[in-house]
Amino acid sequence: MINPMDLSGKRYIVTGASSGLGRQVCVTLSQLGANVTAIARREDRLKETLSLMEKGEHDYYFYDLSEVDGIESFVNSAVSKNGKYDGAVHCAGIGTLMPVAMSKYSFMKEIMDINFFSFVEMARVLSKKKNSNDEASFVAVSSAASEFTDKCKLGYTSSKGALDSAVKAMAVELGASRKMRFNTVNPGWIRTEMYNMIVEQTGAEHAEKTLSTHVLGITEPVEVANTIAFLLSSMSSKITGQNIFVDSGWTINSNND
Amino acid sequence: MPSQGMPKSLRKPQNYAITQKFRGGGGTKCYPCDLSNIDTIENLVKDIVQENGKLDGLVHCAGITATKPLSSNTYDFLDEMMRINVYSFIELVKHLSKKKNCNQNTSIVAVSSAASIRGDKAKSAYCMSKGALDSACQAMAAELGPEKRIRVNTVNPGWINTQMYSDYVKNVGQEYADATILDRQFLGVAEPYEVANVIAFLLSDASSQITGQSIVVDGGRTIW
Repeated sequence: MINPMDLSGKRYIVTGASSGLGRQVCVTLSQLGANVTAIARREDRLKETLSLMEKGEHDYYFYDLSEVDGIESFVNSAVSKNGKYDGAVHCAGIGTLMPVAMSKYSFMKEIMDINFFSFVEMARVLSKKKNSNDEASFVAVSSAASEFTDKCKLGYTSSKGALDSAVKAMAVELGASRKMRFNTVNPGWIRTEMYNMIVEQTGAEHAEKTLSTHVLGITEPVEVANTIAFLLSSMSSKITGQNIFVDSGWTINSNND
Repeated sequence: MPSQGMPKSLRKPQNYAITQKFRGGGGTKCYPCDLSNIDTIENLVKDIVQENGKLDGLVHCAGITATKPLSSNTYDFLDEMMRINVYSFIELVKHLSKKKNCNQNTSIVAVSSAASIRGDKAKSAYCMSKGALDSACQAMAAELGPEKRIRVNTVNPGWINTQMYSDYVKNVGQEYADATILDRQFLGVAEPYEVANVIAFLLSDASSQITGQSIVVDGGRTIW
């Protein structure tokens, strides 16, 4: 038997590593043999993530990605310590709900900084030849909300739509010479803290209604992490610039409100 | 046995012999069938299940292509294209998805094409058939997902290094082929295994929440 999703000896940066999907991505990648540089803001929770991972040459940084200007020096120091990377997974993201009337520039900027600009800056620096190997693969966690939006999701939807487009532009420009690939995964509702928070804000009834349109039920973090591992691996060597919907059939189902 | 109506490549008996060589650990069996005879598909599925037990999925790779200007399109030509590329697949899914014929978490994959999202001259029949596959998969995913937990997806390749590609190169010349294909499909012409890997992913539990999707495997061809 072969395991075409094997990531032995590869090295990736994973952002948003202290909770939810990011934590699961760290665990899954370590199980596939990868070395992970985990990034998050919360120290105690980040250490907990490390304790759940299979052994490997992992390391971690506490970093607030909304400090976009500092990402370059942070990536450079990670490369000088660990050598070249094989890609990155951007799981960091916030989903604050806000009506249009209250979505001021400062709010929009905050959500775009963490969800979008930090990924672009990280990919910009990491994709340089001195920082990454040929055939490096980058995955940004977008959302099915980039196609199926909802009230009070102007900021969130915009940031995810920007990711969907950005991977195409990066794929076209950086794909030909060094065979680097850029894709997003677009999950529906995942059983994470963000899900619990949204249920709290919108009420159980609204949540139940939304979930009833997920034809295979709510998604577990590991199910998205598996797709991310697939996109990092050579198994997806001809997939680039794509938005892969891991949404339990949410957006293909016409029985939506 | 092969009959007159079969696609050219499958009409050759030696191709059966080649396929039969790939007897892996799980066991591979060949069932000759002319998919353009839709009425025979019910019995085909019946025979397969009777001999092997319930199935865990299906990959529909059969397909024909043709370059034909719109002015020479005929209903019969469109009908043949649709029968092999689409109707046979729908009929296979119809029977396979019965409870007595498949296990829980069955996964179904149809090989569509990047041609479903970008048109080309003299390809209206082919593009139509692949677009039909993409849409049918969404509807079947919505219908078969909730209770039966059957997933239905397509892979949509760009150019693959197969007979279809070498025929194209022979027709237009390597230089023209490189200029028209590699410029846009910047990750190169896909080897068949690179598409097969994506199909294997979609069959596996690793893609357990992906359904109704068309996964484009085209080396960047249609993103710009």
